[in-house]
Amino acid sequence: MKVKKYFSNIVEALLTTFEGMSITLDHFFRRPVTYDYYAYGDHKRMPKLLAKDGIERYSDTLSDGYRGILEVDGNICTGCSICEKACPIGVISIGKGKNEEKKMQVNSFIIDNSKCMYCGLCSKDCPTQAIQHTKEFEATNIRIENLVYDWAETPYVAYNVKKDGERERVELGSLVREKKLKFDVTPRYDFPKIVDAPKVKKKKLKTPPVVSGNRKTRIKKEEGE
Amino acid sequence: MESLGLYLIEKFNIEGSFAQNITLLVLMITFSLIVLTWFLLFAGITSWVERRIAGRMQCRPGPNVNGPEGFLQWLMDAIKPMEKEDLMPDGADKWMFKVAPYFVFMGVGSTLLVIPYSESLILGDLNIGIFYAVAITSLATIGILLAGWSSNNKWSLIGGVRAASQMISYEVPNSLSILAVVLLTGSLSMQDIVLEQGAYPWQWNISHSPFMLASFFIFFISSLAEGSRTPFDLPEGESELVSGYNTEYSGIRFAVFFLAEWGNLFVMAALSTILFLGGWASPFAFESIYLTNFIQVLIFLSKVFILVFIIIQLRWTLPRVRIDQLMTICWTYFVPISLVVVLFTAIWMNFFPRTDSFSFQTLVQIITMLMWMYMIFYVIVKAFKNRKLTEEK
Repeated sequence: MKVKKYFSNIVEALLTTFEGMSITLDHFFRRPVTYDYYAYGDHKRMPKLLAKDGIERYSDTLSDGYRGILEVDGNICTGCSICEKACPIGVISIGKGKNEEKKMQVNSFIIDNSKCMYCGLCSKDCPTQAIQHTKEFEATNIRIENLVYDWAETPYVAYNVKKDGERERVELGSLVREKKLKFDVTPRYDFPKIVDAPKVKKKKLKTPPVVSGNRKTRIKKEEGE
Repeated sequence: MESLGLYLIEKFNIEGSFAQNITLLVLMITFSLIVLTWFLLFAGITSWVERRIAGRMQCRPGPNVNGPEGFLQWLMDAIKPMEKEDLMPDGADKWMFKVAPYFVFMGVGSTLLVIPYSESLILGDLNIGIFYAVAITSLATIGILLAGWSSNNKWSLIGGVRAASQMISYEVPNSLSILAVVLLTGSLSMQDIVLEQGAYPWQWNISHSPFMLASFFIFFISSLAEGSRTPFDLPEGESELVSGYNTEYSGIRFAVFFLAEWGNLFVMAALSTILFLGGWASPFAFESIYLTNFIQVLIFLSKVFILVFIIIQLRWTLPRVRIDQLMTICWTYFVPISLVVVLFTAIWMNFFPRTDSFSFQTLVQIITMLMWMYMIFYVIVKAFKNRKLTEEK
């Protein structure tokens, strides 16, 4: 039995190694599934690579269910503030009031993207899917205040499902892209210009009087004096 | 090189004079510099090739930013450590710490002395060539042990000791499978070993008999273990030992360690080629000696590159073994099998000597050749099948 096991081990080792090698050899001749992401380098090459597969943006290469920057469509938002309650870290704050026709109005819908941890609890509970995670991920900005998006810059009337009937949601991510363009102070991929610090005239320091000799001799001198 | 020196001495009639020593010295230095440059270039470029291959096997492109298809990446990798600070840990054994990487590099690099690239391209055809190669590679073990000991770091020490125990264990099956080749050849000289084998696959040592086929596998795998390549890279197991014996190294000394590691790829592949796969032996003979040599170098290098590819492929195929598994593989499988191989090869060559005309031995050679060719086709056909399966899905 042991002898049989000894030889079967050898055969098994060989066969499993060959099996593994066949898989790596197969993958070696396949096209890579990833796309190059040139954040700082040759970003002219980027659209060409994506255009091969008929893709416009990087965000479209991400898988479904990716949780990127939050987006609110005011058109179908009911103003129920379930998302505000669902958020565990208080990213969302909604200000509500009434307009002249005494209908509920959303005055401010502020999402602080610098705090958001992209857990998806808000979008999960939303009854009309007004708040959703998009696939947009490049939110980098030179000022952290610019990451606070107000989704009700022009106050909107809350959507009433029963009375108003069905409304369509706008394309996911299109609003976020608009917001990002709005807040982009500098054009993308260009570093902000470094301004030289103003030259300060150096003040001449008064040098302390030089005392010659080391500590012992100095003490002796003082004593002598 | 030796023949060129003799030719020059004879032509200018300077035998026995002072000029003879000078010519030999100049020749020695120039040729060793040429070979060293080739070695460094190979090690550097292989680092890029390996990363590219690894990338493609994991469905990603690999380094492709610097230069055309990222070819200059290896230069960047070499320049970067040069401008880094050369740190030394507190309480390190200074002299040993400084010297250790060069020991490793010397152990690997000195092997190049006996590797024949073609009929007349060899630095020095020692009559104990293969023995020299086996002996000088042990310097690398000493270097790794020194590095581990002098770093004043537990991880380094464990890595160094692991490396030493691994290399000493695997020296045994490695040398025994070399012994089988030496039995067949009757000589320790590298050129004699190559000349004994023919140009065609069934004349190579690997297909001499099924025992030699087993011997090839043992030699190949144990030289992987000696060069501490995956799946036997326990001395530098990241998950347990941070980086093993080179944990405390930085800057150019760290780079030298890795240069030695990738250079070792060439040495491993070249030795397996010479011992088992016919070396530079080519079926073509031209009137021009340069053309003949050129073809031989091409044949030798193509064999080496195929083996290097297989070594890299193995690295990205197999997971790392445990230390007890490593020792089990060596002492319960490789050592007994290689002993059996040596014994049966000795008996076999007495009963069925190599012949030029067709005989039982030639038949066995062809059958053994078909055996290892079947293994290669098995892998390739299986790869195609895998591909079809995934495409259907």
